[in-house]
Amino acid sequence: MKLTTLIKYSVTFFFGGIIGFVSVSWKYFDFDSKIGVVDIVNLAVTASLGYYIASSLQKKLGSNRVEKDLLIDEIKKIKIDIDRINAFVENKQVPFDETVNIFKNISGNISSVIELSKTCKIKVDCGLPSLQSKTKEIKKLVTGSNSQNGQFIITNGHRGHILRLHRLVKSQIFESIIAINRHDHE
Amino acid sequence: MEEYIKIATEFSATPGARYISDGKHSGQEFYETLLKDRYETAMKNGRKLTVDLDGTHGYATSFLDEAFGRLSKDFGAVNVFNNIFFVSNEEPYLIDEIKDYINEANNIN
Repeated sequence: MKLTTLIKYSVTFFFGGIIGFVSVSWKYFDFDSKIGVVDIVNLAVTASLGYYIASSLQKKLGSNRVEKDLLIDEIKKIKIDIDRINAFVENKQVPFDETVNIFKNISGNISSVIELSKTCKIKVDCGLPSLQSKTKEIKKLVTGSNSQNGQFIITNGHRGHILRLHRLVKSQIFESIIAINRHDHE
Repeated sequence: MEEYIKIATEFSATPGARYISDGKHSGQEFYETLLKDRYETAMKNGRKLTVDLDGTHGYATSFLDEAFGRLSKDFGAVNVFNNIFFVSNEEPYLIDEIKDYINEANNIN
């Protein structure tokens, strides 16, 4: 047992003793000097049930939270990368190597979220295929363009389409995060 | 034994754009110097060609479209699908993307 846990239990026991002593000494309480077997059994069962419910519930809630946070963190990485691509397109400066590498990260992160959600048994697949197809479409428009001097040359028509798709991807990301956050384990 | 290409080590870890005129390590260069020859060798020997896509910094659509789209135009989409196998552990969905380019090059959809 850890020292901090030992101190916690000792302090609780000490205060329990004081409260018990004050209650017994106080004239407004009327206690029997004898305790029945039924009372002891009752107390033991109530305490055990309380401990069991508290510990099992906390454990379940704790594991759900960790899994959800893990998935949400992975999805946030996708959003950061998509925002970077969007910034390149808005500023009309789309560096070839960096852009191609970011798309690789996005694709890898989407597949890792899908795999993780299967492992965690959190069903978020409702939004992920759409997220995947939209990012694929953005990649096609950006990296399918001509390139010159280490930059992709995006036409105005493509730029508008990419920015519209970016907005859709962003709202899809928010929907996926909300879906994960509200998800209950089966 | 099957024919095998690992793009990152045999061609480039930083594949480029579509045409040779666009710069280094283009899809056209990859097709003309490596992919076409290996594919023909594999077919001649009755083997499948495995293309390992892992280990690079990523692929531009223009590179993939030029390399695999041309392979599809020259040999036919069905022939390509029957004789080529892709490995992509880092980016699993890249394989579907390439299959789209192979189909699109032959207007199959």
